[in-house]
Amino acid sequence: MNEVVVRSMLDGALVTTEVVVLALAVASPLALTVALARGSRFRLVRAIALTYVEFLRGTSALVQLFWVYFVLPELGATISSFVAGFVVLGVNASAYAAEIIRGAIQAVPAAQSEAAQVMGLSTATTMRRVILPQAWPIMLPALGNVAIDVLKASALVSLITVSDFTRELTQWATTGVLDVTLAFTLLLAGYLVLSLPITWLGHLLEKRSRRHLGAVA
Amino acid sequence: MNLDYLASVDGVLLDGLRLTVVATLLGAAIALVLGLLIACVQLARVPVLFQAITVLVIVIRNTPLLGQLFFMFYVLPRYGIRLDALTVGVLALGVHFSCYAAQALRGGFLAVPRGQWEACSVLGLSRTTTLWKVVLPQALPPVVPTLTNLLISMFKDSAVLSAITVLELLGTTRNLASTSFQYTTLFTAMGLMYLAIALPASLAVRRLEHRLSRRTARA
Amino acid sequence: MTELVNDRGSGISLAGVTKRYGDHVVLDGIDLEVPAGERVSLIGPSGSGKTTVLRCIARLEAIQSGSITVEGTEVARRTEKRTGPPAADVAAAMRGVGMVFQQFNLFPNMSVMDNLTIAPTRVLGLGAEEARARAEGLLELVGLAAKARAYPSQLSGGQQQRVAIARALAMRPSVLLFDEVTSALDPELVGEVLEVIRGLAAASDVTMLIVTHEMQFARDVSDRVIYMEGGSVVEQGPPDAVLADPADERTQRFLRRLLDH
Ligand SMILES: Nc1ncnc2c1ncn2[C@@H]1O[C@H](COP(=O)(O)OP(=O)(O)O)[C@@H](O)[C@H]1O
Ligand SMILES: [Mg+2]
Repeated sequence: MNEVVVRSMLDGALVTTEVVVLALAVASPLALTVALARGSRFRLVRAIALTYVEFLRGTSALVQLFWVYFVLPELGATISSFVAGFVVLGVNASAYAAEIIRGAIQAVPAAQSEAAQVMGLSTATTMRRVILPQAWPIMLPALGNVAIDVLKASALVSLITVSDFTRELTQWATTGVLDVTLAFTLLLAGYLVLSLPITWLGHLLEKRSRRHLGAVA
Repeated sequence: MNLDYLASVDGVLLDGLRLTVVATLLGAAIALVLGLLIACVQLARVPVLFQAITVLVIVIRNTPLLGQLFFMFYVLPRYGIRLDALTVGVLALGVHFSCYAAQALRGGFLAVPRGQWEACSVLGLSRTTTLWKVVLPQALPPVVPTLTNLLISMFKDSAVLSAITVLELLGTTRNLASTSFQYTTLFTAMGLMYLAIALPASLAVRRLEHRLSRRTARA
Repeated sequence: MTELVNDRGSGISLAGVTKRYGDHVVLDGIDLEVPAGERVSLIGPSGSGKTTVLRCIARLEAIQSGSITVEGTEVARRTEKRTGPPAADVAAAMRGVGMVFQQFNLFPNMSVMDNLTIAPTRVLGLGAEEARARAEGLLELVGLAAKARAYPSQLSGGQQQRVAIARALAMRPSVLLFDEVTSALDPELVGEVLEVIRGLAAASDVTMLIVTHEMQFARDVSDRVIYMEGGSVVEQGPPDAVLADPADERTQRFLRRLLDH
């Protein structure tokens, strides 16, 4: 394996990392917003949020990626494949994350918000200070899985020409520079390594989030 | 949207959709059988096999389906295993989703009270009878929503098979677009075709989950 | 009613049976002889090992020393690994042992009829018709002839437990093990289940080992009462002796506490 190959692999891994981090940055605020909208008092808001979720979950990230990549330019919008990549992955993940957040919010006993309301707390304060902190440990494991899913889905950006880890290795393998067995073993191993920090961070957050809540629940 | 153009290729697109459905169903059959086997190995903690499967599950769950697909597509022929792209695709889908199916099935098994196994044991029922007549019928229904969701995911994710030249719905669409350049029409139509199947299916699962949770709440 | 159970039995015998969970000794070298046809009640405080005795006899637990003999066949002994199916002679002997659980453990996915016929058809090789006829007779016996098509979830706890008794009887056992079969029931449903067991005791010669907290019932139905504590037999004898005039101070204390409630 020469230096060029190693360097390109590292570059690819860096691009993959960037795509994942940026996608998660796109997904987080969207997911929380949509989750709250799903439980809104207003029927219209709820309907819009539900439509958002169902449409995004109705097709795969790959199909959405291709749609954005091929159709947006025809509609006059030009974005780089890199931007298209992390935005689509982020928006796609936000639909799944929103449902998880919503489920966790619903899992917090109703008595909690009733107690807060009786104390005179506003709906917003109740959500921010009472409900979400309790929902957080419930949603964390599933959100960790969504983050892993984003990492896995990030490989799809290679199909719209983003030079991520998958694309670099696939190119070396299919042009005969790298032995295919080695290349694709490295490919899977690379993602396994990239998934470790996500898993690890998930466990860490989970442990911390349960520090205070454990006994009561 | 160019409807005239769409009308001229709708048969081709539908053929693509048909292949997507076929690949999904074949993959699902593999995933179910393999998932059941994996769940059994994990529950019975069969030595060696158990450790091997644990590693396999970790790899499969933490690496991209696309990578697994490439691995099987490019590496297997090196060892004399020559399969056509569709077969590789179906296998990859099945193996990938079997890990998730196994997790769901294991949950279903563990939810069956120990007393059920014990009653079978005291009645002298064989392992096979215990499993097929008593445990599985109780373990499966609660996980049907999860398994159906996996089936829907599989249907959508089967689009990656286009990356190894399988002409399922996405592959067909790209193929058509590469000669006609009708991107907006083709890709929008394709998206709607996926939605037309996945949306009603996931709404049905939602309803089913709702019914099941109400039933367990009452019991 | 002679056809209710097999009468080939020679009872149960436990010799020096020790059961441990890790370092925790649950049965401490128990010796117990129950000749065919005898009705024995096991009483004692919670955690004294009563359930464990039954579970070891039913081969639901492995034992760490001693041996257990059922119908003249040694079915369990120390160091035996209980994975995989039992040897043919052990399986045959165990066919004569029925058990009724505290939590019923009916199969919720099957109708009452199927609960009663699955083991006779699959284990004893009975024809469908014969198994069905046998089940109908047993449902009659426990007063649930009308419930053959019902599912367990549609029955009251008392009815479920009566079905569970019928299910055990469907195998024509020579030994029946009852583990606190009324403890999970609402008080008003206890009577109907005890009534069925009383009837069974009167009408058959099945060997019975009964774990119960119902002292009056134990007195009525048993030939012998055994008081257990801390994994050992403390005292045993005829019900009138043990229950009305216990010799051991621990038995006295246990019975006094029961009366106080
Ligand atoms: N699976 C187990 N693991 C560890 N300890 C157990 C287990 N089952 C029972 N025990 C212990 O064995 C002792 C006797 O239990 P058991 O036979 O159920 O008593 P009883 O039926 O008289 O109330 C108890 O101290 C109990 O905690
Ligand atoms: Mg007990």
